[in-house]
Formats: sequence, C-alpha cells, structure tokens
Amino acid sequence: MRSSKYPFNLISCPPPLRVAVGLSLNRENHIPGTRGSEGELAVYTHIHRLTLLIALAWAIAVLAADQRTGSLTITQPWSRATAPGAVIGAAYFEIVNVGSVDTLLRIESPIARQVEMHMSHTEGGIMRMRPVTSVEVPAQGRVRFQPGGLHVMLIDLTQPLKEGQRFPLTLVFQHAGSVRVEAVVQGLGATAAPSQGEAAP
Amino acid sequence: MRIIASRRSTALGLVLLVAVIAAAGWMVIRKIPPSDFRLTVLPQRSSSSDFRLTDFNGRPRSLADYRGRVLVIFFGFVRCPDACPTELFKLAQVMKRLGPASDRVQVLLITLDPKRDTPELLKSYVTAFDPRFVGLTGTTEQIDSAAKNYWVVHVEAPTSNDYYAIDHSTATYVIDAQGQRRLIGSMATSVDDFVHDLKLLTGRSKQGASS
Repeated sequence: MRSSKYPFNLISCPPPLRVAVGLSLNRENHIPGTRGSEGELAVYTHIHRLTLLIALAWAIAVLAADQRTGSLTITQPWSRATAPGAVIGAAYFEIVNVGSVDTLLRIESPIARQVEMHMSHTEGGIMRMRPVTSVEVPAQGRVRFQPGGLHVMLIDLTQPLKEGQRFPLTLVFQHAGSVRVEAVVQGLGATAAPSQGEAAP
Repeated sequence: MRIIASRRSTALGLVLLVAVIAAAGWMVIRKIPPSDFRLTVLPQRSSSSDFRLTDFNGRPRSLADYRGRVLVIFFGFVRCPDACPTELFKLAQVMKRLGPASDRVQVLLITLDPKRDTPELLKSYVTAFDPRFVGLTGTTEQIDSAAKNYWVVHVEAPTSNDYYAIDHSTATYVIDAQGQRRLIGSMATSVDDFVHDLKLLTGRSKQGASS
C-alpha cells in the first residue's frame, strides 16, 4: 500500500492532510497549457507556492505527532488534561501495521512513576478495567487505544497534564524495538484527538 | 343598557377567572408524561434514594438538604482515568447550556474511593469541572449504603501493587426537586438530552414551588 513516491504514507494521513495535498496537486493540474503571459504565471506561481506552504504546514503539524518505524506507524498519540489533584492520566494512539505481526510489550514515560496498559469494557452498565500485559498488532492491521477501551494508564503523574503540553511515550515492540512518540495533551473532557473528532460522523 | 353591559362583563370576568384557575390547577396537577423525557424514566417510589454522607467541606449531607433543587448524581473516583472525567465534563457542559435553570440543579459526585479521595482532593477535582459541583464522601459503610440505594456496583480491581481501579456502574441519576428519583442517564446520553430533561424537571419544580 505504501508508495515510495511520497515521503509519508498518504493512506494513513488524517483527512485534512489528504485534502491539503490534493489541493496542491489540483493546482498543478490547473496550469493552463500555454502557461499564459508572464504576469499570469507569476500570479499562479504565487498561489501555487502558498498552497504548497499550507500543505507543508499541515504536514508538519500533523506528522509532528506521528511516528513511524519500519512497518509500524503510531498515529496521533494524545492524552487528556488532568484536574487539579488527579494523579492518574490516560493516553491513547493508534498503531497501524503495514508489515507482519508484532507485539507491544510495554510503554515507558517519564511523565508517570508507573505506566500500565489497561483494557476497559462496559458490561451491563458497569465499567470494568483490567491490566493488559501485551498487545498483539496483527499483520496488515491496526490497534486503537481509545477511551472506553485499550488505554495507557499513567499512574502517579510527576506533574499535572495541561492542555497543549507534550510528553514522550516510548512504545516497546517485540520486533520493531522502541518507538518514541510525543503525546499531545487535549482538554479536560476530550474524548478523541482533535482531527479524529472532526472526522467522526 | 348600562346594567346589562356591566352584568355581561362581570359574567365574562367570572368565566375568565374560572378558566385561569382551571388552567393553573391543571398545570400544577399535570404530570410530565414519561414519554416527554429522553433519559430512562424510573418507576416512582421504587425504593429509598437517600444517603448520609459528608460534603468536601466537612458538612453532613443527606438527600433532604438538596430539596428544591434537581440533583444529578454520579458515582466515581478521582483516580478514574476515563469514565469519570468524561462524564463530569459532560455534566459541566450541561450546566453551561442550562443557563439560568442551572441555579436549580446540583451536580454531586459521590466517591467510591473514600480511602484515597480525601475531602481536599475531591474538592479540587470536582470544582475543576464546574465550581458549583459538590463532592460527597463518607465512611465505607455510608458509601456502600448510598451505592446500594442507587444499585451502584463497585469493586476494587487491583492492576498492580501500586494501583487499584474501581469497577463501577457508570449511570447518572436525576432526582427531582421533591427528592424523587426520576431518571437514569448513561455515558452515551448526550448533553442535549440531559439539557432537555433537566429543563423539564426544573420547570416543573418551579410550578411545584408556586402551588
């Protein structure tokens, strides 16, 4: 699925980036056959550069949070701001695997004294949480850590999590080794990373 | 002619008066049909919905203390990573959307973790969502008794030596201004639906107060 023509995987890009890239490509296609007069070209080049800049800004903004290693891409790691006094935080992300099966063994972070992987599930209106020792990432598949499901538990935070803050998470895989990502702290009541929320129907 | 006219107007006035009294009476007697609510409607007078707890300022609290206000009760704990902050944030949005009607609504968080949730911790936590929210705690027995009255299941679930989660019911209960448990919402209930139903209940409690 991955195309070597692009420096990043378009398929796994969030929609805004796809739109931005699409826009810049469309502009290219709109070049008049004759290229018109010099003035027209100058104006066009100006627009073209602007579009490219916007696309680039998007790419940097979006990809800054994503991290890829080999066949694994860790998409949009995020966390939720904590209320004063709260010493527990949660973090979420999605792992996209375009290669063969791998296993997430553990997660490390300097933001908390202890980091665990937990699985929440609701059964008859009761939310239950269980520790998870490892998570298998299927070949050509994906695993999503999300509210109400798999999540990273940050136990005994070394500092409260504030909106807009970033902190490192290191995912240790059996085959791919360690992958370091930066989780972005969203608002107190966030239920998804921002662009995921926007993309939701 | 004049006498007839004044008799007519007196008769008309009487008819109007009767109509107004009847309408007012109807408004007071009228019960909101269950179908008007969007949350799940509970059978009334099903069982006790009382509690004997202490608020985060150290004041003893029972259901009667909140008579006249619509109560929204959630059971949770500060070290809850997911369900509690999400639900409390939702209820904070509900309060904002209610506008002036929010003066007749009180949101309570009853902790299921009295061992770790000190009154100070509870206070800084719940008021971060909305300064009007109140946290209640108590002895293990008091909390068990309150939870039982609301059919709330809660079990400590250790995940490691350093941490235990609490598996718990995530329902949100709505008690009307007369202290009757009326509605149950869930994590899936939208802000819109909460706002809709609380407006119905606060409107009704206003009529009740004026009768």
